[in-house]
Amino acid sequence: MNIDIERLSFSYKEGKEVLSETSFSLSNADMTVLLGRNGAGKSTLFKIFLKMLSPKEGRIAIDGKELSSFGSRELSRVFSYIPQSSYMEFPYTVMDTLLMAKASTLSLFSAPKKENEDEAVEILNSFGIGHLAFRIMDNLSGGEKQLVLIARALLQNSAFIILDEPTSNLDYGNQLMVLEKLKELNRNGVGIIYSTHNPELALTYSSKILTLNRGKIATYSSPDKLVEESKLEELYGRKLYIRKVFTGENERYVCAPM
Amino acid sequence: MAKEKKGRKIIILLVIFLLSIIISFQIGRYPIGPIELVKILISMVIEIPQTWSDQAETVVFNIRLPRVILSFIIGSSLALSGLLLQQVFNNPMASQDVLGSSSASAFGASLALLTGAGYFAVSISAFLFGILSLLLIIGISSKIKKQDTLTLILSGIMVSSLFSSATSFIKLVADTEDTLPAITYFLMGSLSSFRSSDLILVFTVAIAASLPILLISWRINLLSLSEEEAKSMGVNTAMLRLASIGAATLLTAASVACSGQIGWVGLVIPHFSRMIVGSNTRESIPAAMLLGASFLTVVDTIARSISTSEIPLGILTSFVGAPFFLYLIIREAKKHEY
Repeated sequence: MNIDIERLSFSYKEGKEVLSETSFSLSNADMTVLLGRNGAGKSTLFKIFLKMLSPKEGRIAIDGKELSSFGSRELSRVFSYIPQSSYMEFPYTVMDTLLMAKASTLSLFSAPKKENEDEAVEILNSFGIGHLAFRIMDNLSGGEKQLVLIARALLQNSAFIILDEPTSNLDYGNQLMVLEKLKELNRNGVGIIYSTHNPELALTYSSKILTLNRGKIATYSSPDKLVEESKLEELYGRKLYIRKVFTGENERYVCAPM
Repeated sequence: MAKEKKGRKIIILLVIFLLSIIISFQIGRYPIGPIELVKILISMVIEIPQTWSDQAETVVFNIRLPRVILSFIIGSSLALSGLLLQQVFNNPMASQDVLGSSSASAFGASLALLTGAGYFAVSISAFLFGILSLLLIIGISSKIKKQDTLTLILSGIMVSSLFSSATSFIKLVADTEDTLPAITYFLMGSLSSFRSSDLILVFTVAIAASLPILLISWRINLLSLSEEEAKSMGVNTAMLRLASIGAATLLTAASVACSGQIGWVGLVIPHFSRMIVGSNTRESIPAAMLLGASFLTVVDTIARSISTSEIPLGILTSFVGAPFFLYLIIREAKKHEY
């Protein structure tokens, strides 16, 4: 599935554009990461994808079909969304939380059935967290919670999963665990779009990097090219020391301030 | 595994409910023995030789039966209404009392009583002011960026005190001989002064508002999602929110119009229901209705049998509700401590 964004502009207030004439394309074959300074328009872009905001100008086409013509049910097949912090006020179990993803496939008067539950258990097992199925969400660790939310997104069966800073509330070990999981899903054909403020993780866990600078697309390229053209320095206005290192079998980027 | 347990829990709730009804039938100024009661109730369906006094029969059918029915309709209405408001505002501290919507409904009812209108007008007026108060709350909280429990409770206090003052004003202008005592007693909450025509209306409203909610009970869960999450899942929360607010206000208004302000049931009962069956609204909604019904039936039994004159229900439920609210405040504060 491909998403083409053409000359997209958006402003909350007249004259103050958050996004201006932004164009790029996304594919579900990619793990795309959004980098940008605070207020660069990352969340705004996500909200436009989810049709919570409508762009002032420009068009978004999903496999050639205009985003504006997508119904809510149809759109739930394209994007699932994991917010930066998802806090449930009430003590829901993992299973309760997962099954909410099935809402758009169920009729108004029905509740999830046995087969939905089996599907959820299957996904949890494949994540190695089957034992958490009937635990209360609030009692899980940050990493476990994030895995459950990713499992919920999978259960929704959408082409893309959008994650708003999925690692911001996690310890380093869990950050790596979550991003590795996302990378694995991407290899299985799920499009991943996420934002982060950590360039090192962005360079390592992505196939495409989109940098947003004051609402304009600064770059849209592979991690290697981004490093080659010193675009990260440009984005953050800092001199950075970025090197590729070999960690046995993998290539990894390290990034440090100069 | 988890399902079987839940099934058993619902059965336990049903047993509690039936017990509360039986107890309520027996206890009162004219006590009726359990065997006598069963016989009288059976005689309703099949003819059996009469071994009980006519007086006992009159008490069971004309005094206790309507009262028991009324207490469980109102108990379940208030509990369901409270649970819906907690889900809509995604806040365990919400309820018709905390948000001020029962004060608003009480004002609406008092206003109608002042003009000497009948139960139907009292209900309509209670409903309209109940909706108005929730609109006020929603309006206030949408103006404030930081949406938390404190904002909600403070706006609730504001709305509540606004309508309480308005009610006091009505009391001030009411006729001291006739209307004032009626309004005052009514506001304290009691099931003693209902008419059978009220019973039919409150029953109809309760069914009309509860049935659709029971049918979509699983969907009510989706109100716990953030707007973005719900949207990405293809869920229209606006309709769900509207249906829940409408039903909650209707249930509160019908209850207030019929029995005055019986506070705190809507706050306390949903919590117990969640403790017993979990948060999934498919289970917590019927559980809250059963628990609310049992609770109010028992409280009403206490209210009419503990002293020679009836104690207004609102007083008794406050004794339970206010300390519980304090407990919730402390628990919430602990949850956000780091």
